[in-house]
Amino acid sequence: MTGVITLNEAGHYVIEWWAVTQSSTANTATAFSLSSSLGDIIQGMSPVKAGQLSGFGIIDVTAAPVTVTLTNATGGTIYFPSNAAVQAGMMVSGFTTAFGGRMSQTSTFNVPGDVAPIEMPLAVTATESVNVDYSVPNAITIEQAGIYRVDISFVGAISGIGMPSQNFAIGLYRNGLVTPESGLIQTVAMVENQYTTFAVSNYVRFEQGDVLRLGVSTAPDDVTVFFPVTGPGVTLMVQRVM
Amino acid sequence: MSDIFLQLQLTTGGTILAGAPVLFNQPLYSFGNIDTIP
Repeated sequence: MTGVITLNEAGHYVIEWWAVTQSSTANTATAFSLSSSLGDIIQGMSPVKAGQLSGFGIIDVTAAPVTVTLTNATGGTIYFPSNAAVQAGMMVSGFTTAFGGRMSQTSTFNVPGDVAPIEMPLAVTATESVNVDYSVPNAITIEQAGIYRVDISFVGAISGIGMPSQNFAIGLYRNGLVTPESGLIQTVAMVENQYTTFAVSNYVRFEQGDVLRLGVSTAPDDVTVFFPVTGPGVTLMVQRVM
Repeated sequence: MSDIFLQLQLTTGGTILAGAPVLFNQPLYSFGNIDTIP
């Protein structure tokens, strides 16, 4: 038993505590301090040796993990009362978030027909993002495990097909373009040279380090996809909800 | 936004030396990615 609490995720943490004491060997005020591995020392004090004292603190974690303890800061040994069944309590409330997104920038994109999905170029990152990583090109890497809302949108037109319409699919792939995420792939019979909109959303549990990409495929013919004149044609947005 | 919660109690009594941490022995509630070393 070490009394160490480990804050595993970046965020804001509110910590509240109370303790009852019977006596101490110190000639000073009775004190406990919230001490963190970041160097925080946030004290709560009582001028007397016997009684209840309480305190609170806010710990701001930008690089997890951070450890926290409630420490005897009295300068002497504290005696807990024998007639109190509970001698101390602590509550930690943490608030963290993760969100981000990628968007396409290209005006046209060639998709070969009748082959495995290929990676959709998503060169532009969301204007604001927190706790997601963009170091893998065209991908979003999850930094915090949790449940995320995922939104995929597509607007484009295809040309080059031999029939009036042809199936075109877009989906979310995790850690390689092998299997699309359940509920996050959509296939539409696109009519040649007509703009078509895809929209698909779901809530998915991601793990730390998951690399998310969009894959596109079509069959049977090779197609050229034409995207909007301005603005992104394809977007992938993720937002942690739990 | 995601929330993390932890609630702990101390019921073992006794003494605590100067500079030593409170060894909370009773986890009452835990939600999210936060750890206590039991």
